[in-house]
Amino acid sequence: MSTLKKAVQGTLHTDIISDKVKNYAEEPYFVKKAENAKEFLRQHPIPDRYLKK
Amino acid sequence: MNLDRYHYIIADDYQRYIFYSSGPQGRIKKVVTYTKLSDTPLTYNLAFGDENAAGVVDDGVVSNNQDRDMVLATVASTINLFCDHYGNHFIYAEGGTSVRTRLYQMGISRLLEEIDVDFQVLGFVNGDWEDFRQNVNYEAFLVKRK
Repeated sequence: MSTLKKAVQGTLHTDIISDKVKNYAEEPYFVKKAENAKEFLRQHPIPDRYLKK
Repeated sequence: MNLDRYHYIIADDYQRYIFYSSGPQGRIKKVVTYTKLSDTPLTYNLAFGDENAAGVVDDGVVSNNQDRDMVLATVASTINLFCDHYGNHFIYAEGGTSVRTRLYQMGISRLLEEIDVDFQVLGFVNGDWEDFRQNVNYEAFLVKRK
């Protein structure tokens, strides 16, 4: 595949880094997921007790 | 974690990961993305879905490809790679449906002993965040590498 740049090292898995992976930034599904997550965390922020760890 | 998982293609920004589930239903393209949600505290969203032949991503479908654990292990393994490049920050995840969220919960439960070594896992239930406990039905999760 011409889109593949290089393999990630590792003996168990051969993963590949590519600069041709589709940009999903405008994909409605992912946009909606991020919006929902932002709203959820706005309503239910991470408590300070976990931020200080 | 060193669980059996699928190989993936990693976008060069380390925010997008592609892999293919393989099973009785055939080869299904899976996409994992990370999106920044906030700067204070720095928090990212982990989203995961199936991409169909038309290029549309969805997680409402049940793939039924009999490789649930391997798919979850593959998604989970992207967290380590992401953290290697972006640091150890909170990562938020929830299923698109309550069924899917429960699936994530069961996956975390099964792997909790192993996950707990490297990750802090929080669950949201009864209006508050708490340390993840088994047999609790959470609405959402936060993960942070230690």
